[in-house]
Amino acid sequence: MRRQIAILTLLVLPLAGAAQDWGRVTGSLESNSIYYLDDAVVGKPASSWGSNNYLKLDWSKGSFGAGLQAEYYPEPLAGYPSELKGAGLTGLYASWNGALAEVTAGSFFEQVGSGLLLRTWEDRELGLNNTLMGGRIAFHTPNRGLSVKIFGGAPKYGLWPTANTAVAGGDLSLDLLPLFGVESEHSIVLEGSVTDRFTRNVEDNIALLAKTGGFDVPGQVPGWSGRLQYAYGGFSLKGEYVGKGPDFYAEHLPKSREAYRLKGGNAQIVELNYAVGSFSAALTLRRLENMTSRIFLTAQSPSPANTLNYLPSLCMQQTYMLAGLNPYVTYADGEAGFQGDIYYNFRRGTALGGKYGMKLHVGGSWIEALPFALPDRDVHYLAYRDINIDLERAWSRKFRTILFVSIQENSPTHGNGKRTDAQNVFVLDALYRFSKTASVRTELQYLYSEELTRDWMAALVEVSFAPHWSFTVSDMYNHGSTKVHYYNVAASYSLGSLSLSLQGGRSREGMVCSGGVCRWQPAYKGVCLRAQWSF
Amino acid sequence: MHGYLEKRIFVTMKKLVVAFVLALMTLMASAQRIPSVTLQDGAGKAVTTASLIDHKSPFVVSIWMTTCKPCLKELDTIAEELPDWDESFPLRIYAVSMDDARSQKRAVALAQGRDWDGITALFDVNADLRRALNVSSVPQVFVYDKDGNLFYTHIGYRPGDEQELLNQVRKCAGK
Repeated sequence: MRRQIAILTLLVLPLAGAAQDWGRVTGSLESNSIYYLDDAVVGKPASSWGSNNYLKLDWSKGSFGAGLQAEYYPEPLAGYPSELKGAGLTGLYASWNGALAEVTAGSFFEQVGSGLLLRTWEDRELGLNNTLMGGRIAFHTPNRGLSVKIFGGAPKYGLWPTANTAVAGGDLSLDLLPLFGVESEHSIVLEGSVTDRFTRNVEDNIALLAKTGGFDVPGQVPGWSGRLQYAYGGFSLKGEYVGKGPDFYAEHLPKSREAYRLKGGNAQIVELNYAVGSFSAALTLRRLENMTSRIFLTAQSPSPANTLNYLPSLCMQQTYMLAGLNPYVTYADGEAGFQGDIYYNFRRGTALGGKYGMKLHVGGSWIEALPFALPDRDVHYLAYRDINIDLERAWSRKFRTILFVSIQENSPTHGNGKRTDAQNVFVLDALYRFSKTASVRTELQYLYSEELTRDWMAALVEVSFAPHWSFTVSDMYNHGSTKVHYYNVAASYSLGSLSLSLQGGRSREGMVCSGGVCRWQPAYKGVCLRAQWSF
Repeated sequence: MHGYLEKRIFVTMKKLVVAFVLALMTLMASAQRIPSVTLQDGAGKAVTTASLIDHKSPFVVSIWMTTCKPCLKELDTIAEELPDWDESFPLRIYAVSMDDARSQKRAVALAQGRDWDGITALFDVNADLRRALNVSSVPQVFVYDKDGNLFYTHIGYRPGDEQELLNQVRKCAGK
């Protein structure tokens, strides 16, 4: 044994001495496991347990880098895409990052513009990782007046890159004033992108061919995008136009029938921002027409990972339990709408701000499904609208509250029917600090509705001891219809870059949304252990 | 004979795995520098992480999102502590938003509307810094020394964490 230790020491010591020359390794480890329990009310998922595990390692030395990501799902958590079962190397890359250029071979994430045309990204809450396996070359001038990149690759689906689909593209960005050597506080950026999506007629699409009555599924779909940004001081304006060639389209007909045909797509976005002093405002207008872009074209792959672009819902992403019960999901076939937000800080010492200040946020959105995407074809119907108000006030150095109101109206069929569901949510969120490190936070929530499952109430108590521990108890109760409690108890611990949490309780079925993209989560009762460590 | 050979191979493999893990730990033990990534400011201008290093004072990178309430609480409390900062060096705080293209403009408005005086808001639109720092959940704060070497990091926010953060900045400056 001593001899073995001596050999290992001899092996490692030179390495340790030369650590500076061998570069650095960073990474992360995450494990999320749930043991499901029998429950007479919400039932039990097919498997009695699930576990999602991720390991990421990156090495870098000077301008060179390399890395990998491995994922292991002995049994994916309930609600996660079934294609994830097993183990796979979901990322593997080598890169060179120079002062003016960057080259990546292997897996990489890519986005052009706002992502309407193309976006690959990872979201572990959704089980989504559509990283491209291929190559990318990027270049920019020293003052970044001109930036250009070209890329191509096959997206990952499940645990490995798919052989079904590949994408290629290029992106050009011109920051006009630096490009022509003009020094100014104004900023004008002109950008353009082209992409091409190649799809092979493999099994998934052969099934579609039979369904569509014979037209050929598009093997190649070109796309393009033009963008203009202007900024000066607290004002900024951004506009984007996106178009794509004929693509698969499921046309909505009366009596819930569908017809399949080829149709081009397009989208427009305008974003306005203005800020002065303690006031700021943001407004986004967006219109979509057949902008779905999938790895597999048919709906036979409903996994949230079956996507190649980013179509987030144009409304506030709710964070309180009851406000997020029925989230809106973008109607990519055809919708138009706006989202606006206003922020104002009533500073300390002012009449409304009082001694410790008060923050106000008012936001809202209104989205209509467009006539051509509806069976009636002659009118547009409401798809979603909401108004949200946050009022946050510190009453003393120890006590502060948030009053939140959200009024929502959602069409469950994206305007394909006239019916809408309305709900009004009221939240009081209060934080009291006992000392510099101990605090208690409570949430009292009420949802009033005459539709769906009618009224709900919820409460949460969280006790924290900084910087390591917090304990949470919560309950969500549907007293308007089902009379079911969804209760949870949780404890979490943090130390540096290590985070551990243990949680147990009953979870409601519903949409889990992250960044505006959603997946269906079945109801369950269980115990969840989560560990994250980055190094 | 066959069993003996298998045993030797197993023992050799075990040694190699242990050596690999030890080598990895050695590489991990070396100081982590802030990764080289390009971010954006509120006007969409490129800001490199290298430009945050001034070789004079430490700095804090706080990763946040518009939908993360603990993140907003943490940055609010840091902003409230800033007027009382009486050290001989400036407290440089960079709040890097992980919001994607969808809510980036909202993040710009939110940062301005919450009056984070003394905090510089930056935007990691393509999640490059998030991936390079291996951030799994937010908020996460990083304290870097004057030369950009990692000194302290912490995941999550509990009321009171801001005091520990400021203490770590002081320690970092005095090391």
